[in-house]
Amino acid sequence: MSNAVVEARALSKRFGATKAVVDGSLSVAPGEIVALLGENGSGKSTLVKLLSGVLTPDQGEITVAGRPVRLRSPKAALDAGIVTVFQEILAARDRSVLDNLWLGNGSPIRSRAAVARRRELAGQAWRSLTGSDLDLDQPVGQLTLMQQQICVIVRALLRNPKLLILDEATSTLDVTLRDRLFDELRRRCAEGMACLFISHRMDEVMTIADGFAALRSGQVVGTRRRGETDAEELIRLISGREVGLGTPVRTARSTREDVTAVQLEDVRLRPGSQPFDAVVQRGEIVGLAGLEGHGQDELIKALAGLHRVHEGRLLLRHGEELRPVSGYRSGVADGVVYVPRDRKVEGMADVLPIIDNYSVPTLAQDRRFGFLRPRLTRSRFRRDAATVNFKPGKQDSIGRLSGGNQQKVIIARWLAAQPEVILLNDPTRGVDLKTKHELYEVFRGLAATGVAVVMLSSEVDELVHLMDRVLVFHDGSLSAELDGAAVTGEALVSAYFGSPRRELDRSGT
Amino acid sequence: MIAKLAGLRRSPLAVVVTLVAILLVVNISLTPSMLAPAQLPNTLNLLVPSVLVAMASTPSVMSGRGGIDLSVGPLLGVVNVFLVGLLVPYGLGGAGTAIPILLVLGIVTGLVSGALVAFGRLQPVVVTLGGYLVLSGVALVVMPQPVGGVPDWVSYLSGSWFGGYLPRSVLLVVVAVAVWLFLKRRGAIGLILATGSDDRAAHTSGVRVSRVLCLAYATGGLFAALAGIGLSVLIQSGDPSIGKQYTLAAVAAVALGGNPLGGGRGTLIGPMLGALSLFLIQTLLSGAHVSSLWIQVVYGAVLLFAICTNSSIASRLTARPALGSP
Repeated sequence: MSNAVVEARALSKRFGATKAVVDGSLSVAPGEIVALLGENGSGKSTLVKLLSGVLTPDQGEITVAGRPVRLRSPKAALDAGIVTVFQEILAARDRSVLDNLWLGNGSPIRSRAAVARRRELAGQAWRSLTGSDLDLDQPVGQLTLMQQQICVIVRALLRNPKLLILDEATSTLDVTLRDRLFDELRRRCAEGMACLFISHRMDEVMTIADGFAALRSGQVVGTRRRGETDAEELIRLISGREVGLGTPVRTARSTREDVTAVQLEDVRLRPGSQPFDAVVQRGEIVGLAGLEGHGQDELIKALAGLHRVHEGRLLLRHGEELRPVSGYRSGVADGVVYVPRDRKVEGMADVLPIIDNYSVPTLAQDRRFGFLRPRLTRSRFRRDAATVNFKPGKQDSIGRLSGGNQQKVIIARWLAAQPEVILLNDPTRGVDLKTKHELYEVFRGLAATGVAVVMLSSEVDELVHLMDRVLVFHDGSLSAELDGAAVTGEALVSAYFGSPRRELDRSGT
Repeated sequence: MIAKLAGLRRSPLAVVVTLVAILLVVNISLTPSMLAPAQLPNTLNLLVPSVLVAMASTPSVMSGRGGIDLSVGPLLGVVNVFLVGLLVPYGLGGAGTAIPILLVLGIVTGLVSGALVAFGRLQPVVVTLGGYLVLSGVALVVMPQPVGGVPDWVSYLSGSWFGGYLPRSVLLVVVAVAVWLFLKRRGAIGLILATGSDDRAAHTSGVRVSRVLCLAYATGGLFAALAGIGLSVLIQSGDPSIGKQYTLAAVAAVALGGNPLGGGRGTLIGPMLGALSLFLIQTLLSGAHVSSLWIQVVYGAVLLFAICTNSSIASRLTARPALGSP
């Protein structure tokens, strides 16, 4: 396609050992809206960052109107006509709406006339998108989340982009505004603008897109035109599993005991979400899944006592009775432990030695007559390190260990607290394959001793092969509960996108 | 008028304006001679360096990322000893040569700090603490002990027009304010504030954040150089050690003026009034023959009170709708 506005050829980007994008090839023609589809970690965000100059590719080429360009900074991309609305709302909250709408755009202001002109243009653009007026002098921080989202979209439109990239930019818009945005996009595209559209809502994608590009493991695995495909085929494309190397072997299922360890009653995660009930039995591994930010993270933090759900009861077993979650510290005392997602920030003190990282929460066990006995700590550490298959080497500092070994130390730390419920927030993120399998065995082993394991995972393979059951969240509500053999890649991805078949029927009528 | 007052109540300037008003009334009623033509030039000469150094601290704090410039105080001293100890002996002490040289000195010093913060991604506190120590040392190397003898134009600036009603040192503040207004009109101050508010938002919107940070520190350096000239006007001599003490007062004035130390928000008039109120506290206490040892204690207490009040106003200002996810 030689008439493409923007074309990416074989882009690749790696972070350390992780290949975020392997073969990002994509082409968007004038007037065309292309949807970029993919599950968590498929490289969507990285690809967007490469196209918008936030990251520079290791290899590959980007051409704008046929000419190769090097996008060294966001400014370079903006100057080339590629304007991006990022997933996160990036706005200077302390500054006025007007300032934000023109942030980084145009020459320095000199005259009053220019200021007035900007105000007028900004007001027009806002009105044309929303159909209403807004006080442009109030700080962005005082707007509602939706208005802030509109603010960053209007900012992008004011630049008259050649290629507009919308990365999950519709997630906080209500239906009316979303439709108005779609109208605006169609109007702009009729004038020659191109658009790369990313959304987790399959119905939106099917409504607006002229073309589709499916991304899997950092690779564009297929492109389709509108009319030659349907939602089901797209989901197959996105979720298509490569069997063979790297696929964990399904381990023997634990025998779950009919004793409830965790009980959720009428839980609503957010004001707008649907209430649901759920239980986790002792000896069971239950997965929490969904696209990033759809409520699973809030739930696991709520169970750990670190977050409050909008309403409903969270009960945890305490001896013979079930008690409501009352807080993080009391949870640990009651045998509920939590392994956070961000090891570096929340999970460990990377300047301290391994053994201190292991022993800190349970040091009281090593007290004799009020004094610490380091010998006891060391023998305890040897025992728990063996359980998680961690072999202490010469290295003393936890910061120097590999991600997988760090995670083993953190898990060993919580084994020392003799948990009854272990909450794992994406524990295998950034862990190499071999260690992942060792961790799976550890989790299985824990479940076999009657511990209830609740694990948030962003990896479909992991969910399919490790979990007894999976709760899938969409938009803050429970969208599916998959049990045993029903946990398949396609079922999961379909539920990630909020059961698109049903929504398609609705949007079709 | 009432609406304006009500608006002021919620403004970040509320605390400092109230403080200045009260202190002015008390000061004037205790020593009415303060505003007399015989006294006014001295009073203002004393005030000018403090106000300018508070202005010098303002842009770096606004620029966020923990921005602060601790080196402004010693920079005052360096400008003072450069003028008296180097430029005058080498015959460069005339207004036409000395003023540009000193202003460039200030700008370059600020640029170095700004570049280290922006391109070196170093913490501003550490960078400018280094600058503080280096500049304190440089001042002593250039001039080991106080020396007299300032050029004529410095003596001229200590005088006043209209029989004492308009001290000439105020010119320095006028210049600084004019520079600020120019930058504001050019949109540069807006960019500093936007960068301070969210540097990632600014970066992804195509703002060249590193340049903006350099500009913020360079502007601070320029104002510090003006303050150094103001200091020379005040002491009419060269003194290598007097500048340093201005640093903490400058940071205090910024905080008192309602500018959050986290950056992204703030005014220029706030820190100026902050410096004025610190000055008025000092004259009040020394006028009441309170031991100078106690002045520090009162300073600190007023500062803490003001910051607590300011932050409660700020939290009301930024009260925002709850977000969907944590």
